[in-house]
Amino acid sequence: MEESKKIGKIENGIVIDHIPTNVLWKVIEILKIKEKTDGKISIGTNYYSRKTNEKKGFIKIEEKKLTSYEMNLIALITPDVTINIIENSYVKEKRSAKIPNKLIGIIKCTNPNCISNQQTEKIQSNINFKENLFTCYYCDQTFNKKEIKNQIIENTN
Amino acid sequence: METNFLKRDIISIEDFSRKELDYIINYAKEIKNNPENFKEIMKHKTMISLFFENSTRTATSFKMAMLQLGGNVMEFNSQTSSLKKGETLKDTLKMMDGYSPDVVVMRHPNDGSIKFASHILNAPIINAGDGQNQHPTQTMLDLFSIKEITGKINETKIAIVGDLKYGRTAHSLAIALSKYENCKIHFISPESLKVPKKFIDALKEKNIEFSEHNLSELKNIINNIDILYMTRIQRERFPIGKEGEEEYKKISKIYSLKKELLENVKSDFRIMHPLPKIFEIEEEIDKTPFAYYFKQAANGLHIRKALLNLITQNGRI
Repeated sequence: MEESKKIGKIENGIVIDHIPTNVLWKVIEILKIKEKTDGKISIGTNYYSRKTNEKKGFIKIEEKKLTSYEMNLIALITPDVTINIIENSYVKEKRSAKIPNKLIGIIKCTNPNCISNQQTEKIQSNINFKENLFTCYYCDQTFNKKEIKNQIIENTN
Repeated sequence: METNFLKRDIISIEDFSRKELDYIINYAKEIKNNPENFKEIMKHKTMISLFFENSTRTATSFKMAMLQLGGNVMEFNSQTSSLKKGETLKDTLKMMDGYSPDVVVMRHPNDGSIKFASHILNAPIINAGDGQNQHPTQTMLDLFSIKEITGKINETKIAIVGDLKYGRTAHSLAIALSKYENCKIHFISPESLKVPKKFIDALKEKNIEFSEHNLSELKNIINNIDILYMTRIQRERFPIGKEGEEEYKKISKIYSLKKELLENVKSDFRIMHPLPKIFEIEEEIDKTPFAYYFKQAANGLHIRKALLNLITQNGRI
């Protein structure tokens, strides 16, 4: 059994495993863990991953359901993580994070002159994802995964 | 498959098939040859002209097109509008749409603004330029002019010269020519204004032969082409400050087409330019039979007449 499995077992909630250590804190940010005041939370880092043969991080959160917005964001940052949905102490479902074909209000277009980047207009961004390339629906600007690091839109909900 | 232009938004040249482009070009030719037959065709139709940026040729030719077809034009002035009071583009468009125009023609400084507007408006919209992004009626009038010059668009041998990094007319024309057979493009530019890699990669996927050259190579190419398509190099494309200024001046000196260069060109060779031209074509050339740019600009009138009519009432082909 991997060491991380022994830590902070939860009855109901989510386990995100095999997170590359360099993006663990970004995933923590996406899940807004700081704001969560109920339910057990375990965070581990620098554990050994047999899956990747590298150091990994994991997050276990009790009484938490992942929204599709959170799933999409995690997929954008680290598409290879494993997401387990836990119910009554058992893994009910295994999900893999996958970047959806359409990202509405998730990432900004990289073109500063795009109409969707004009603050006064309050237009929700609309980005298509196909064959590892992002394309802005409005201005047709294309960009790759490396270029989206600073493009993630803060969730204001 | 039957195509229908009725109520269609004209946003990007990429949205049009070869068959549709040919239809628009042929219809524009019919209007150009027989203006009398079309002078009342847009009677009781109204176009709202929304120009959020300055324009000489595009705004005037759309207005003239509508008036010469017997239609009405309502012009919007962004300088005296509620935009100055902070009204959003969305609200401005919703209000304009409430006046039930038959067609809206819009130019706006932001890329993608026309596509956004097309979702707000019920009336069809024609893109008259959205930032650095698209200007489809310019490309259509370019194709129309090429056909007028050489009698066909297939097998066009063209050199596109100037600012190929930012120049939207150059990119759109290349995309449009890739819809035709056996065309060849020579891209000629200063090193700092070369065609972006992303665009080159996209073009490799298309049906078009092309090559890239420095400005000094124009003299080796000019005698073997049908069309020389010149574009303007803008000062604002160079860095602010002394270094940028010097680079701009250096390129301006090299980048000026001289009459001597035209001594051995083909007899039906012509020079096109989307205008305005500043220093890139020596004035002497205007008087030669090779200068086609003013006729090219005038062709915008016929293309715009064709589109206005097709999308407001005569849609089916």
